[in-house]
Amino acid sequence: MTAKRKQRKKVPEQKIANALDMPKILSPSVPHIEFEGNREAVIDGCLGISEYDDDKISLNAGSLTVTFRGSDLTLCSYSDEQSVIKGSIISIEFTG
Amino acid sequence: MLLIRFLRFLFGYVEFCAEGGFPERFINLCSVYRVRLWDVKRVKDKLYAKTTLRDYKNIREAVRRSGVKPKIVKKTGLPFFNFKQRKRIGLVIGVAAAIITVSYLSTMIWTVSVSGNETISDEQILSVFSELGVKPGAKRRDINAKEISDEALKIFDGDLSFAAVNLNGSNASVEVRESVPAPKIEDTETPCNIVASEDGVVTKVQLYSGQEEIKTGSAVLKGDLLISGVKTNLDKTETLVHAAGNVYAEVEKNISSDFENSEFCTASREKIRYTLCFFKIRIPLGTLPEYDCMYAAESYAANGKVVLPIGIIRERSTEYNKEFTVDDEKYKELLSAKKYTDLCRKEISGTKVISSDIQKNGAKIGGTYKCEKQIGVESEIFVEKN
Repeated sequence: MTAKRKQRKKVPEQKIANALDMPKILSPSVPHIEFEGNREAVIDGCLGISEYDDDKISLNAGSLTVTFRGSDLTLCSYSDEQSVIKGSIISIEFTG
Repeated sequence: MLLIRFLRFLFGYVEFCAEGGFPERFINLCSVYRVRLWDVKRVKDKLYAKTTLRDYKNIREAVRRSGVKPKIVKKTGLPFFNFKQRKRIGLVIGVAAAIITVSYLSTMIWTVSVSGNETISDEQILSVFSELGVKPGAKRRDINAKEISDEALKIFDGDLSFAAVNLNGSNASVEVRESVPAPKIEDTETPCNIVASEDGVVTKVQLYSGQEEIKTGSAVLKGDLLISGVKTNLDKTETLVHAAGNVYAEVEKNISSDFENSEFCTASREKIRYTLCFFKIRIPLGTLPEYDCMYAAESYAANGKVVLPIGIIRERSTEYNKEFTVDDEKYKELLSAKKYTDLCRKEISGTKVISSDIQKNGAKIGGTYKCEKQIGVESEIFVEKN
């Protein structure tokens, strides 16, 4: 099978989601992030922590890895459902 | 959020520091083992975090698998406070006693207030309701407001048209409404004359009904007819009417007083006693003999307008059997002046004083007053029926 054909083959969950017009927020493999300025970020769908430093926090969110860079970064709360990061967030990177 | 902070304080939490090993793996394992962490902070190579007291006991497996070394930095919460104070049994007993005391006292009435009264005094109303059970120290559940209100209306015998007892917490408020007395119906049917009640010279006549028998300026004696109730008609017949009117006359009053050396007594023995009162409980501090004169003054703690049932009663008992005579002229004159004032109040109050002539000679005081007053009084005409 060519690479193009492989790309065109969608995951069954995605096909069902698209057919029913379900919002992406309900998809378990997609993280949902809400920001309050650059002081607070709430992440839903976080599966684990990859890196944790004073100026960098990397979270494993299923198909993506989300990296927050800034200063005085603190994990105010952490659970397998939701995490809250506070501090001065300068940038956010997505790698997948 | 304040509620979350309060709950965390209530159940207790610890702040710990984890060194070495793999801090990220430790956080992930805490999540797997359902250990709740918050305020996670990375400071150089140390990881600081907070967790509940119960969850801290469960991080052993996460610590073992991640290789970190945890160390408690701070302990906060009620369980730690209780543990520190566990030997202070007096504190626990004191808190328990305070709670029991406040709970018990809140089942009682602390203050009784009165409202709505105008001519009847607060003391009179409070005294009646106190006998019926509404008083400081009474149990709230023993008060049947309806029965007490009905009983109070019976006791006041028509002076009150409405009475109610309302319990607001530990305060009982008594609301009353006084009866409006029925107006006196003037008798305008019974035939009567207006006669003079004392001697004088007539200055003014106000005739409402009847026949005027005297003129302004004429002298009258006590009992003289002023306004007649026998009215002569034009056809020479007579009709009996209820005479009405005011007759003002100038009267003369002579008032005198002198000092009389009667039996005077002074205090021979006196005793004062204090009594502590707390609700219904009275604790006398000493004994008090019963002499001729007993006097008590009560002082209660108050918070603004609210008077609390906690205070001190000061009682004084005095015996008067030591005789003495008044020799000082100044005291004689004072006593005579007081007697003279009382006589004046009785004789000439309510009249218009035209002139006065007062003479004083030591303790002897005499005065002559010319006053204008209303001297007409009704005198019924008795009719014999054959």
